[in-house]
Amino acid sequence: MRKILLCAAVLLGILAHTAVAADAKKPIKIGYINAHTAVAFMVQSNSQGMQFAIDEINAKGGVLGRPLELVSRDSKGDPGEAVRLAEELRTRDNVDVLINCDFSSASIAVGGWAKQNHVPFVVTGSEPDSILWQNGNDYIARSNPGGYAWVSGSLQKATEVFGDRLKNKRWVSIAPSIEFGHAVVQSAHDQAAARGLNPTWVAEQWPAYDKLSAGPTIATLERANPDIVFAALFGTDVVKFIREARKRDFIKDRIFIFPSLGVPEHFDMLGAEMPKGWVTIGFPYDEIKLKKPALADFMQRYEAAYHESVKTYLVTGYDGIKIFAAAIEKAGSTDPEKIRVAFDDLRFNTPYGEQTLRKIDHQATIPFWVGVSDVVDGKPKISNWTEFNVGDNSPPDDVILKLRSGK
Amino acid sequence: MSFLFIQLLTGLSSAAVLFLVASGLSLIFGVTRILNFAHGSLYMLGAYLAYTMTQWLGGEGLNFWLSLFLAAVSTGVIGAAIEMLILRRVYHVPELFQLLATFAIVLIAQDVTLHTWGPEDLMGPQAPGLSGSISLLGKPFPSYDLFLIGFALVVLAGLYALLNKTHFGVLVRAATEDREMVANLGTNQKWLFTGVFALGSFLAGLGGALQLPRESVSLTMDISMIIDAFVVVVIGGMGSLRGAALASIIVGVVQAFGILIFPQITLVLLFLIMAIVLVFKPYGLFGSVEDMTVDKTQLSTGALKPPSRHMNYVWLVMGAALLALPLVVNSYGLVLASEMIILALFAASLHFIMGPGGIGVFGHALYFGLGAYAVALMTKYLAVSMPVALLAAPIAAVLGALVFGWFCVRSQGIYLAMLTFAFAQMVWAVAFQWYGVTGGDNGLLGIWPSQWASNKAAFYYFVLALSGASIFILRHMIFSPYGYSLRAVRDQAKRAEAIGLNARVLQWMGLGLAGAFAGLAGGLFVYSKGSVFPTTLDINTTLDAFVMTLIGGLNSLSGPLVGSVVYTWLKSEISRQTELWRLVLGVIILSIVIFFPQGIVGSFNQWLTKRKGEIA
Repeated sequence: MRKILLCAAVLLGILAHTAVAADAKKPIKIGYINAHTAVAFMVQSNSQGMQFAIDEINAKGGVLGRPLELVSRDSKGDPGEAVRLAEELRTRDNVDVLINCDFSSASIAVGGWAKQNHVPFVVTGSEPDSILWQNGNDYIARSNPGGYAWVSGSLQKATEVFGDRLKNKRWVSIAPSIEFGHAVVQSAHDQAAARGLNPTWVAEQWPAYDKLSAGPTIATLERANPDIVFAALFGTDVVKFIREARKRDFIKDRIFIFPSLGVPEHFDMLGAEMPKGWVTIGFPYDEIKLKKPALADFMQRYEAAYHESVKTYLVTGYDGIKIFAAAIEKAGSTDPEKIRVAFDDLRFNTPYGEQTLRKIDHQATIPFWVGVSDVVDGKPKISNWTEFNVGDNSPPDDVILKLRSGK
Repeated sequence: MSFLFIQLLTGLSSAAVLFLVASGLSLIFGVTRILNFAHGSLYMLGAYLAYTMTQWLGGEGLNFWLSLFLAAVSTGVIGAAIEMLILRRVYHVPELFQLLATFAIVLIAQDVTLHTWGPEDLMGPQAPGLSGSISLLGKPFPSYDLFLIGFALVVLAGLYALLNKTHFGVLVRAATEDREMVANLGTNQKWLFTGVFALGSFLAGLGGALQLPRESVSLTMDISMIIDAFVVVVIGGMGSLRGAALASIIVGVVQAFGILIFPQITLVLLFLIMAIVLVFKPYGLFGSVEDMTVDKTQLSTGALKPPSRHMNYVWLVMGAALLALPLVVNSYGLVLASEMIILALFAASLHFIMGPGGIGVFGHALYFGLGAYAVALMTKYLAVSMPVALLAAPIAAVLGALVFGWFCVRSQGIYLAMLTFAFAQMVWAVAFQWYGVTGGDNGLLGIWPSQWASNKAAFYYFVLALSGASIFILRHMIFSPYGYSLRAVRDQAKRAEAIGLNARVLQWMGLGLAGAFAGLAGGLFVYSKGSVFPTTLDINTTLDAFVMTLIGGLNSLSGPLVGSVVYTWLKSEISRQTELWRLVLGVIILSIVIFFPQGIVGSFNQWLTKRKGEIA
């Protein structure tokens, strides 16, 4: 009898020991909701960026001594499905936090769910600011710059390049009829007026995303005889627009402000067909890295690991993981309420050096670059670029707070 | 003036590509009677292959054109292979199952393309010599667009000659008119079908390849093209070549001018044209009623029987199990179970109209979405409570079903299916583009259940009670005098009319009834998500309902319930296991269509009967 008891005690001791050890080593799970089958080109680089960050962190012993693990699910770009996946990841896969790269509608929907269910959530690929402002809450943080910052930087650059040629002119806009397009065009209206450019908006086109009928749309815009074209197209629509605009002589003698043109995911593809002199966001990594040793180091390591060049949504994905690593470290646990509080003024490391999450809305105040498009040796390039920061290109704090309070 | 002329030409150049794709679709339908959903995939494949060929051969001079031609030929070969390996095995199954099989091919093609060519868009070269523009009435016009218009005319003439001057053409036309007669006259149907499928695929591939100089090649080309091509074929009249040509021109030109006048509703316009044409010409511009002599009993063979006593026990046990579920599963299990039950109601409503009603509806998302948006809009703008808002869901859906249904029951078969599809797409486009009211792609958020139902278990019981009661009523309806009349109309329309049944009114009511319950399901769906999105109205929701109903089996009462549970579970499990979920799901659907055309429950019953027979 005593022997049995002894054996049992020993066994229990071993079990208890392994249980404790297992808990210490238990990975911190990050649920990753992405529109893999809807916008594969974005998600591919985004997920590689995340995995790269996780491998890097785990090689250094993880966070709080625990390794990170990514649990990835395809939302198909459907916000309803994204919400279901959030629920599934949380309660079935027991993830600690959520991250995504999806259509903005899905980001907003999951953001609402995150608040309802108290789960920290980082957005890494949706530009509309309503995610953090009108629909924002304390559980959400974002690692990519928003539409307002893009427009602010673009108009600033356009003013530098074109000066008075922007004033009292006829403007047209073309953007997809999704949240992204509406948000960016609205920002352009507001900010152009605020800058005293006194624009007259003479026409607008809202093609369905991915379904631009370029010919008729451009002919219709041309008819309004604009001086300045504000465009915010994305993906396949960009190529259709540029090819058709060139053939129809729509480009000549006009100023184009096209913030989304420079996203490397489609910028590089255009090759020698890239129009010259259009104002756009850009990622001239090869030039930026000369000033930022951290970026040079990051690019070298990444390219060695994946044999691919660095892209935008790759960096935002990488940063998203870094935000969580820093927040969990700062919170000292994976407790959602503590992570939420840790988001306030969180400092985290990125390939551009140490950055901060803004306290009022958890937007990463990271740098971004705006320049003009150019072609050098048959390859598209951003020239005459300037570094901006999201923090300096946002509405005043009280405006953001007002939007967030829903008044 | 010059602007209008240029806009007209622009519209014609869009029409040119539409015509190439749609004529192939129409030819295939005319002869094989298969509505080939995978035609868009062939179009996409043509574009990708053209890209690869220009990379191999170089995009200069003649090599460019050779690349395009080779891409189209390869697509034709792939099409022939699909016909021989897959479609040959489904000619004997009901029409809607064939549609399901081609949908499975779409899923498979999407994953194969993604893994062959990678996720990034690809940009091919410009057409040599045609990359610039020429001046027409003082305005520049892309010379390639002009070339496309001319090229489409050449293809039209070629097809006309092929159909009218060659032996193959005679057979094709004969088969389009009367398949059985052609078979009786000793023509080898197999090769005729393969030949037509290859020709249609060649045209789709050509259409895709010719897009290379205009846009980047991307993974979403298939769905956007197939919807446009469907619309063109339906407007023109299925199986009619001149119909496809005329309809392409109408669609291309109206869209070109529509952008000018209504830049906000570009999406609605396409379906509006289709609906208007079908209201006045229920069989399209050049289609005829004779083309549509579908054997409707095919949809659901044999009579439905009221459940036996044994079956009632089974239901009781299942009911008890469902009641006990919250004790066993965690909160995700409850969320999934609630969703399955809501979708089961949705599928049951579709089953009611497709099975006993004998009406092949292909836009059931319309009623689901109407119910969903009714709830959301009532909550958002009138701040009503959950019970009141939920009451609005079936009412809105019934109203929609009665209004749209009135137009639908005037046509039959594939036309009716496409008309329901057009209405669903129209309402989807409104929800998607009417930003101020519906919130556009963001949808309407923050619509949670009332306090007393906010707990997940409470909400589950609420869903179970409402859906259970609804499904019970639907089943009861099937065996009511009304249900028998509906089935009489389905099986023997002429005889039913002779004894005084009004077929149209009965079917119209059936649509209303099915719509009401689909609407209720939509309303519940909103509360389960806390929000509503245009995706509740889109083609994927329609397809989901369709797949759930068909894989369960049309010819049994429990078919839609089993179908919705199996399909929802499969979809979520497969996508957990592999990124290639579309491929796996496609193969599974294809296997069901080929090996179990009665659906899961139907095949099970067949097996049961056979076994009983052996024992006896």
